Amino acid sequence: MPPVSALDRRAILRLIATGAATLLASCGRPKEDIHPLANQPEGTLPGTVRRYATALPLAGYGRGVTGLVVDERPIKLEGLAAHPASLGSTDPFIEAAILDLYDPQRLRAPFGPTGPSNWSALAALFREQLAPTRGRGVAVLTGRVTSPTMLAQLAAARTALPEMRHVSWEPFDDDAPLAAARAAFGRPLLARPRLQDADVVLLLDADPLGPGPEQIAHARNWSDRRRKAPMHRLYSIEASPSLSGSMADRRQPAGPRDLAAACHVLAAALGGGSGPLPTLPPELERLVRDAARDLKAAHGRALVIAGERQPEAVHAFAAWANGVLAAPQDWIAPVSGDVSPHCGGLAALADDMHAGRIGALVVLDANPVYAAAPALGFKQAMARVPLTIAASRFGDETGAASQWRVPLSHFLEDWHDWRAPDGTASIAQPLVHPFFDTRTPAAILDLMIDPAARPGSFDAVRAQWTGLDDAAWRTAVASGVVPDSAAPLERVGTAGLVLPPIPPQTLTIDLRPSSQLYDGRFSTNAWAQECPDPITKEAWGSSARMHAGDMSRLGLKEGSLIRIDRGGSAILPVRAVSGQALGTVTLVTGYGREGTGQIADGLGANAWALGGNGTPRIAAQEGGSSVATTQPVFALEGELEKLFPVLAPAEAMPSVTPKPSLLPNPPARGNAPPQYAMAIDTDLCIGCNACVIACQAENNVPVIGPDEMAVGRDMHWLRVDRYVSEGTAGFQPVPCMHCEKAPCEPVCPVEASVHDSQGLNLQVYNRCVGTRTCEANCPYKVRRFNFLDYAERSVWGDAPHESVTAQRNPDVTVRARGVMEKCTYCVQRIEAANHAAAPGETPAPVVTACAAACPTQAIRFGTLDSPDIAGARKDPRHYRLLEELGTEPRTSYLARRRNPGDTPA
Amino acid sequence: MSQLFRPGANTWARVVLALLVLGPFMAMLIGGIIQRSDTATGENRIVEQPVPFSHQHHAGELGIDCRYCHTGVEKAASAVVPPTHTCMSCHSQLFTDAEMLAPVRESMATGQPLAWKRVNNLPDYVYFDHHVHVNGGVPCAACHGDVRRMPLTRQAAPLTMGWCLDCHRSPEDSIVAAEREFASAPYVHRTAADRAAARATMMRIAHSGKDLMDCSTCHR
Repeated sequence: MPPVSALDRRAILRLIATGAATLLASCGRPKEDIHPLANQPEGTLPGTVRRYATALPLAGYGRGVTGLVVDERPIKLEGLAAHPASLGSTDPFIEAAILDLYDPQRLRAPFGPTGPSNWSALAALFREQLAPTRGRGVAVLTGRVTSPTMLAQLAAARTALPEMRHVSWEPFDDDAPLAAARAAFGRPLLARPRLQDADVVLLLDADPLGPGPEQIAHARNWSDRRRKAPMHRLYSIEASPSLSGSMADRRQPAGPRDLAAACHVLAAALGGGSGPLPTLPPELERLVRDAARDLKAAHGRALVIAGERQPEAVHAFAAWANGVLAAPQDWIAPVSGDVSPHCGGLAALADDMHAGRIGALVVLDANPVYAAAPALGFKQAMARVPLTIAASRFGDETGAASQWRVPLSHFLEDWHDWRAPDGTASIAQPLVHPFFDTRTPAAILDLMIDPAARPGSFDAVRAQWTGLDDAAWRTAVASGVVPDSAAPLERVGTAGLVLPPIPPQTLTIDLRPSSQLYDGRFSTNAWAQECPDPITKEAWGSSARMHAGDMSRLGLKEGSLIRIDRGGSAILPVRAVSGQALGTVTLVTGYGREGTGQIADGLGANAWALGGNGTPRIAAQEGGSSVATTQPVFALEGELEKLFPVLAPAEAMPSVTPKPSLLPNPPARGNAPPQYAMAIDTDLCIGCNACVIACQAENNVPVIGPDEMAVGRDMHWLRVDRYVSEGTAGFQPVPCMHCEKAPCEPVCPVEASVHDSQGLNLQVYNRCVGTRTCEANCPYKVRRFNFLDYAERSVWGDAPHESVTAQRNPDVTVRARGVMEKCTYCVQRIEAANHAAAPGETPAPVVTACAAACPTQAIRFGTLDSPDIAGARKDPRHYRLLEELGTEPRTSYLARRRNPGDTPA
Repeated sequence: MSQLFRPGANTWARVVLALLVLGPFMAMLIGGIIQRSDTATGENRIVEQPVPFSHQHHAGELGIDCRYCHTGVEKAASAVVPPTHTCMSCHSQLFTDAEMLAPVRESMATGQPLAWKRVNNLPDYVYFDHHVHVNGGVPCAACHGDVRRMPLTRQAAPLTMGWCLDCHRSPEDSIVAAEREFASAPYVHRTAADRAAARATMMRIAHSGKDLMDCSTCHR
């Protein structure tokens, strides 16, 4: 185009004409192709959802899932009712895993020291360099291995390379409980608390409802007990608010010193120990005395749980206490076969690497450079190993420090098997062909054993399960579990009393798994990053959590940058968290990644760098920075009882008289179709965020990225609000209320917000012109506006991101820019049920994505006359949010209860 | 001083004033006409296909049932454009070396799907469900016209929202008896059986309480 100054009249006219012609020509509908499969599998139809049982691992443990597959694409993962670690529900990690499959950041082909390479080059390398060594100086580093196939491969590898060393290492390990059991019972065992049978539970910095492989099962068992009368009681002593602590009936913050001292006081109250008792802060002392009273009274139904990051002595104490209390708790031998300490194994390996005794290191799906204790100097150690190979799904720190970086398949792309935390085995079938030239860890081990062999992963897994005949194998694969494969329960003797030594009162660092990113393995997942932390509501980053008193003592303000040194160092902003113990700084893991791609790089600081020993040093840094949050923290003056009522065990909600309302009445219901409604029990919601990501996966909710999140343009259709009231906290999921008298409807100038005959408040995207008046008029603030073309924008940087569109639900419209959207009660599922109903029959019950995901079944969905909803609406704890406005919401709540059992001070 | 305006100027002024008033209406009228025209709706448009498939030959002259190829029409939302395998179930025996069928043979050999061009194209925010309509007694011809007389498939209806709603508002006249659903001219000589089927479907809709005019019927 010529410069503007050079344009004459004719040129301008020509440009205008061209522009007008282009505009007119662009008005047609896009032409579309139809691509029927060349050979459609028999019995399937395009566009229909098929469900397959499979499994996904977390920290090596398998959890059963149901994969929803449309046109050969897995688009959503749901729970698997038959599997003991899923029980039909999910957690955020299962929900987010489907995005990993389509993630444009995935590694696609092996990468050697000289650039792009291939598997046969790696096989040749194994043949030349590994085979002659007989395994001397060869080390394989994996995470926790529960897979029978993988264990068999490792055994085969030891036969082929007899001196090969295998090290299992998980960042969040079981070393302390195993060591405590070994000391107490003479063999390494793991405790499996039965929360469903416990009337009184004392948590010693334990978070059974928090993130981890057993979250779903624990949450379900806990909720089963909480539903029953008489109400149980949950005590929690912990350093920083966790999900379990938020749900506790009584909770006191305590650092390591107070926790150990509390064990002494508790031991004395339970009839053990002697000698002078350490002093405790008065509130903690009262809690411990009340807890001891209740634990003793509930003999046989009382449980003490020690947190997995607590030292060995606290676990030993808990084992003693549970023995005294005859606690509802089972013991099993670890299902991972290898019971050597993870921490020690990795340290010994690092030592040998530093000393030059390791000639070849193969890292399979582990990331020690990122998460190992800084004292090990793992990155420097890797530089001393002549041959390093790292296998992972995404680029990571260990891959960057290795000569070879080879890609692993996604779990849904190949055959696997895993054992659940209770030992139940599941055979995981692939739901899709591998997209790229990737392999499973077991196939890479195969390559090491015999570089020429190339058995398929199906054959490898099938060979492992020869005990199952073909019929039994098919049943096991189709149902997702191998029957009767749970680990046998172990009988244990009485554990002796071990009192934890009382550490001095110093500043301590408390590292926790992130509820979204776990130990960092979900850092690259955009859904996980965008999901707000349950406690701080931070997204796309994380602050250090401190007590406000500590902050003012150090002269820190909210958002001040600090530098923490312990082993390594981390620079990150601080945030005051109510309920934090004095003298502890809590950091969540998973941030501070490098070389992983556009999503995770440069967000937050690596908490694992503070995995050293000793007293941390904290120094204020210049400047400040804030992490985007989705819920501001402020005091609600007198409004808290209305928004988040907390009741005593048998108390009922006071009745509310709605104010006169100008909103139009809902249309009269004559012969109406099923009327849908939702009931959410805030007494059972543990704030795990499974529903948030389930909704995102089901309803094509876009990812907007940290910048948009920082200006408050959160697009999640469902948010989980956290409230802290005196002595307790709780979570309140807030989807669209589907008000019968909806304030959004009369204000829409184009009738894009309307009701249908099923009582759904609809948002008609093709009518919406984006005035946002509905959002302004919505008292619940559940409407979300597409300020930008979020569906087409990429948060994955320059990488082509078309692959993520393959995850989208074909039954839900992808919203364009300038359109308002909100929770639809999964109208696509309702309509699917309507269409599937035989003529003249009522449609089958509908479950929304959030209700299906909920591990505690706190979210219930159904018609107004269904037992779940009708029962909830008759419950004395039933209330509607902002009931006095007279909007008559279809989504309603059951109030949080608290059963503190205080003794008067 | 000479006259500023010529004698015709008054007429012109009146015409301009009238156009100022009438112009917007005319623009709306013309716009409406264009919007409803075949050009804009695509009605009667014939789309060129990779293989010039003739419904007239297959469904009309040979009498192959609609459901032989469109297997989803009674079971799922999508009527299903048949997989290459369906074509080859006959054409592995008939016209095995016809030039016209080369893309079909190639698709079967390579496993690459044929790229059929969409003839009846609804916007992405519309969720049409074939099996609900067919099982309710709406004949194929209601939307697709008499495909047995189409050598090349064309769009037989405007497929605008107004056109959909005409039927959703009062479906009874569009419903025929089950045996006529796949007929070429289902609406000619309406029989007592058709009226009975229409009554049965209307009763069922009324009984369920479902309002076919709900936005959620088609938009999600």
